Amino acid sequence: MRSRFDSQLENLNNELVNMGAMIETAIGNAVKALMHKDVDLAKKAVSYDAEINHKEREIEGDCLKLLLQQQPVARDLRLISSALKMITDMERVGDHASDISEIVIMLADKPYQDKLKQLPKMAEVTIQMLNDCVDAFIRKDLELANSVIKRDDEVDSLFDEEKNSLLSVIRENVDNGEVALDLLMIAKYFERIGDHATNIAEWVVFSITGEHKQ
Amino acid sequence: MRNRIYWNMGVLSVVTILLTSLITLSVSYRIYFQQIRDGIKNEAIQIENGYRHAEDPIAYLNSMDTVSEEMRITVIEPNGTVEYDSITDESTMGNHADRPEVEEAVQKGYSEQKRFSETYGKETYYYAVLMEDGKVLRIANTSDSVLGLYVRMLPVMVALSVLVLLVVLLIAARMTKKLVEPLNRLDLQNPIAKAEYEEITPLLRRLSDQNEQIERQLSMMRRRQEEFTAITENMSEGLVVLDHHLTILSVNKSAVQLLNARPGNYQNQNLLRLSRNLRIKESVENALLGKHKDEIWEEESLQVLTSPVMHDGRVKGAVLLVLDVSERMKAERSRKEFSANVSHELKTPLTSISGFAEMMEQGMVRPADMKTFAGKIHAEALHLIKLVQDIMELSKLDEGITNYAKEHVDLRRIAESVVDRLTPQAQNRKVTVTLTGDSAVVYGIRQMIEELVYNLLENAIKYNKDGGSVTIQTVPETGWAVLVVSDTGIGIPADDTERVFERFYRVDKSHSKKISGTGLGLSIVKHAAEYHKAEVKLESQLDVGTTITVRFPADAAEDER
Repeated sequence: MRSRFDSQLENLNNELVNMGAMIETAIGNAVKALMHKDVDLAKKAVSYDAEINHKEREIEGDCLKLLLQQQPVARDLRLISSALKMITDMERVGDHASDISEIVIMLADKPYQDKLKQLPKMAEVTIQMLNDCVDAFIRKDLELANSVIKRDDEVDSLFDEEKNSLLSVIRENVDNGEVALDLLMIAKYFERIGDHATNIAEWVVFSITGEHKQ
Repeated sequence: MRNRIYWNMGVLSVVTILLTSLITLSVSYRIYFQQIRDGIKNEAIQIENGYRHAEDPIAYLNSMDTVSEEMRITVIEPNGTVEYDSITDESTMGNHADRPEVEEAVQKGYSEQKRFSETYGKETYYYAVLMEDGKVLRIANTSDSVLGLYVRMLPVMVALSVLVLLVVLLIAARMTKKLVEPLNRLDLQNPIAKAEYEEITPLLRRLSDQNEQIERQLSMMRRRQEEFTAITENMSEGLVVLDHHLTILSVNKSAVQLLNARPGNYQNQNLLRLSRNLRIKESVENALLGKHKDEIWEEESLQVLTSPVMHDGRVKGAVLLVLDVSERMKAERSRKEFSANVSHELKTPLTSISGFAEMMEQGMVRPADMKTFAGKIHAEALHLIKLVQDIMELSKLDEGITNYAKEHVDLRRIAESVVDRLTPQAQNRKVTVTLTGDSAVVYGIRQMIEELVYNLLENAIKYNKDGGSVTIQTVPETGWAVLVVSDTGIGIPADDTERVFERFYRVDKSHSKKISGTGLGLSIVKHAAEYHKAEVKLESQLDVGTTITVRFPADAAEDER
C-alpha cells in the first residue's frame, strides 16, 4: 500500500519537474521570440500555453486523487498541498509567456529592438529565477529557494528602471508611444513572472520546512 | 518445523498412552477374569461339599452369605424351582430350569456361562454344578465388562494423557530448541564448516555449491558492469540508457557534462532531473515508440541521437547518445567562410581584368595607354596566379597529403636562398635584410619549410617602412631549431594578433591595393608549422615592428607519418 503511495508521490514529483520544464521552455521561447523578433516562434509559444494549462489540470487531478485516496499526513501532505499551490503559479507564468508572445506578434511590423533597454536583463533574471525554483524543488535546496525569493527585489527595481527609460523614449518622440506601452506591458509581465517565481520558491520552502512566509 | 515437532510428539504420546492402556487393560482383564473363574470354581466345590455334609443345608448357605457379597449362590431344584438364593427372595424368582447353565449342568454335571448385561455394562459369570441329590448349585459373580472397565478407567486415562502431553510438550519444546539451534546457527555463506547434523550435509553441500555458483555469477556480472562503466565513463560521447518510464538506468560522466547538468548520481532518477530540456524528453519518448532520431542542436552545439532498445520485438527502453559537435560546426562555419572568401578574392582581380579588357575591346583606350592597361591586366593576372597557388598550397596542407619526402633541412641554408630570392623586392622598398645565426637542422619537408620562411620574410619586407630593416636569425638549441624573423615595420594591432593566422584575414580591411597580398601567407606559415609540430610565437608592437619566432623540434616528426 505504502509502496504504491510512494510511487504515486514520486510520479507527482516528476510531473511537477515536467511542468517546471514546460514553463522554462515557454518563457525561453517567448524571450527568444522577443529578442530575435521571431514571429513564428512567438506563435508557437502562444499555442504552447494550452499544453501547460492541460498539464496543470492533470497534476491537480493527481493531487486531489492522492488526497482522497491516501489521506496523507505530515510531509506527504505538505508536498501535495504545496504542489497544488505551485502549479497555479506555474500556470500563471505560462499565461504570461503566452501574453509576451502575443505582444511580439502584434509588434511584428514595428521596430522595437533598440528600445528593449532593461528587458533582456529582466528576462535573464526571471528565467534564472524559474530555473532555480525547479532546481531547488528537485534538490530540496532551501538556500537556493531563499535566494530566488531575495532576487525578486532585483526584478522589481529593473522594472522601475525600464519604466523610466520607456518614459524617456516617449518623451523623445511621441510616435514611439504605442511601442513603448507594449514594451511596458512586457516588462510588467516579467515583473509578474518574478513574483510567481517567488511564490513557487516560497512553496518549495514550505514543502521542505512546513513554514510558509506571508 | 517447531510446530510440526510439537504436533507429532503430542499425537504420538496420546496414541501411545491410549494403545498401551488398551492393551494393558485387555491383558489384565483376562488374567483378572481367569482368577475370578478359578475362585468361583473352588468356591463351588467347597460350597457343594459344605452343602452335602451340612445338617441344614439352607442354614449353611445362609451363613455363607456373609462370606462374600459379590458372590451369588443359588440352589435350584431339579424341577427348576429356586430353593435358595443368596441375594433375592427365592419365592419371587421364576423357574430356572431353562437357564442355559442349569440345563447344561443337568446334562454334563457342570456348566460355565458368561452373560453380559448391556443395561448395567456388567458381565456375570455363572458356574453351575449338579449335586448328588439332583439339585443344581449355581454360583454367579458379576463384575465390570471390559468396556465398563474402560469407561471407569477413562477419566484416569484422560488425566494421565493430559499430564503426559504436558510433559511431552515441555520436553518437545526443549528438544526442538536444541534441535533447531544448530540449524539456526548455520552460516549460510559457509554452510559446510559448522554442520552439526550429518543428515543435512547433502543439503548443505548443495547450498554451498549454489553459493559458489551465485558468487561466480555475481562477480562475472560485476566485472561486466565494471567493464561497461569503464568503457562508458571514458567515452567523450554522452550515453544515457533509460527504461520505458524515462528512468535513467545508466548515465556516463560525459552525458552529465554535455547536458550541462550538475555533477551527481542520476541513476534511477527521472530523465528530467538530468536535463529539463523538453526536446530530449520528446526524442526519448519518440524512441520509446520505436523511432530513431538524429538531431543537431545548433544552439548547444550538440548532436543528439535516440534509439529504442528492443527485446522480444517490444520496446524495453531507449538509448540516448549526445555528441559534442562544436568543433565540427566550427569547421563547417570556417569552410563556408573560406569558400565565400575565395570567391570574393578571385572575383576582384577578375572583375578588373574583365573591365580593362572590355575597355580595350571597345576601343576606349588610346594606343599610347595600351601598354599601361596590358600591364594592369598582367599584374592582376599575376595576383590571381599567386592566389590560386596559395589556395592550392593550403588545400594540400589541409589534406596533409604531400608528395615530398622528408629530409634533414638546414634552416640557415633555406634562409639564405630565400633572402637571395627576395633581395630585389627588399631593394625596391630600401629595406635591409640581415641574416645571422648558425645552421639549425630540422627533419621535415624542404618545400614546406621554404614556403614558410619565404612567406615570413616576404611579409616582413612588405609590411615594412621604407628604409626599414629585417633580421632573420637561425638558432640551434638543444632539441630545437629556432627561426626568428623580426622587422621594423608597421606592426600588428593587439586586437588582430590572434586573427592574422586566419585565412584571408588582413589587418587592412579596406582591400586596398596599397600593399598587395592574398591574406593567405600567415595561414600557410601556420599550417606548415603545425605539420612540423613547431610552435609559432608572434610579438608585435604597432609602428615599431613584429617578431615572429618559429621553434621546430630538432628531430621533428622523425617517427611520424
